[in-house]
Amino acid sequence: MASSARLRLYIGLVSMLALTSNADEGAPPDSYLINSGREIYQQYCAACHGAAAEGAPNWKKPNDQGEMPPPPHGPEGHTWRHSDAMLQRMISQGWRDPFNKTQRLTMPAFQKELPPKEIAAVITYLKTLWTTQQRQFQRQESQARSPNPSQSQLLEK
Amino acid sequence: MASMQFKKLLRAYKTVNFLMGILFLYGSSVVSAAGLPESKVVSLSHNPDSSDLIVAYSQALYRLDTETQEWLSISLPAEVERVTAVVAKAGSPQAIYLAAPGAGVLHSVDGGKSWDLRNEGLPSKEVSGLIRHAKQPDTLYAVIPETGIFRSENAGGDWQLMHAGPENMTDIIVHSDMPDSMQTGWIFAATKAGVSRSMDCFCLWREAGSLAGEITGLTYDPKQPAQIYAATDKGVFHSQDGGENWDPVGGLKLDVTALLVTTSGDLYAGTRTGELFKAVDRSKRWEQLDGF
Repeated sequence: MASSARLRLYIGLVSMLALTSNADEGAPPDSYLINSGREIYQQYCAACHGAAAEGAPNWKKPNDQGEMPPPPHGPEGHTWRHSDAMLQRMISQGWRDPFNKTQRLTMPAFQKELPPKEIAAVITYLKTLWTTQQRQFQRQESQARSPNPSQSQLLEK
Repeated sequence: MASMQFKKLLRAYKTVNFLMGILFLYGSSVVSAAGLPESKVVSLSHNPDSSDLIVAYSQALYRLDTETQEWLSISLPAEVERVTAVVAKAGSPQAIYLAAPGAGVLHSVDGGKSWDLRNEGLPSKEVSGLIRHAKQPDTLYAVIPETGIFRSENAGGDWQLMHAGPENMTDIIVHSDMPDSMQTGWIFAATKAGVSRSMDCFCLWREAGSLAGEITGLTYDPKQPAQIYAATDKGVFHSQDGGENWDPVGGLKLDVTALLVTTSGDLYAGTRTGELFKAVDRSKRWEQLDGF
């Protein structure tokens, strides 16, 4: 983790009130937090999901090893369909597609590398890739499946 | 003499009136098997808290007590011309949902005595499929052709479009609480070319195995949610692994149009010509329930 990224993340956390009010309208959140999340994403996620979060080619079909390739995170993907709590859990603990032909995790676990609030910053960045309607949908999902602690609480810590 | 005849007539009138009152009050009546329709069985549902099956034909609805084999007719509301699906609400033995093109989604809390519409958020009333979530009694999924799959998490109070569905989807979908979903379970959808499967986040539809042909019936085992059953024009098939592999279930050569596994593990099949069968001897043979 680059120290500058951490510094920007903590500066970004100061602007959480702005994030919350913007999120209410389905708008992208605070730019400092977004930049921090983008830097963490580039360091830990981009190798598989792509520098522009474009995902792997043919991500909808199992690869030669019978595993699902990394999906894109933009409007064409499905990241926006998951609540904050589920995204936090998937990044932290990983996830294995039960129809994988191998026993490996389909999505690796990052709990050793990334504390919850840095994962929350990545999720904040990912939200900038979605349409307004997708952000609104995802916000409703997050409220309906309320995490403990919430994304906002994680970022306030 | 005239007075006695008048009293007899009055007694008979009162009796008929009383019976009509019961009929009106309950919106249903016991029927013999011979009185059942010969039209397609469109949908089967089961309340986990009772031994009753709800059997929907295109233009009729029945409650079958599987212990006594007694069929009870449930009156359809006037606005319903055709039924496409029925759902018994888990935890509420008298609660039923109906899908009826032209009327939309209807809900009864009193076993069919009265109905109310539950269409808020649906773009049309042409609802062709309706199912319940495996574990959440108030979560329903509805299919509107050429639009997609809608979800309600408040018993039909309002609906939200979730996904257009897989390619060539028909009207039949199933929710299973099979594990390892990113959300709460999995949606299985019948298509004109096999079964498709997605986690109930509607993240990605994938083919479930290589079962060929149009799927005309689909269900899962609520006690073993990775066990899926599907019907094609080749018969009934069973998957033990969430749709990856399929094996034929022998013995039933009729056109199956509805399948259901109850919480007690019994497999039922309704046919295009109105028969209802129950699989016995570990699905090696089928027993007809409707007396045709």
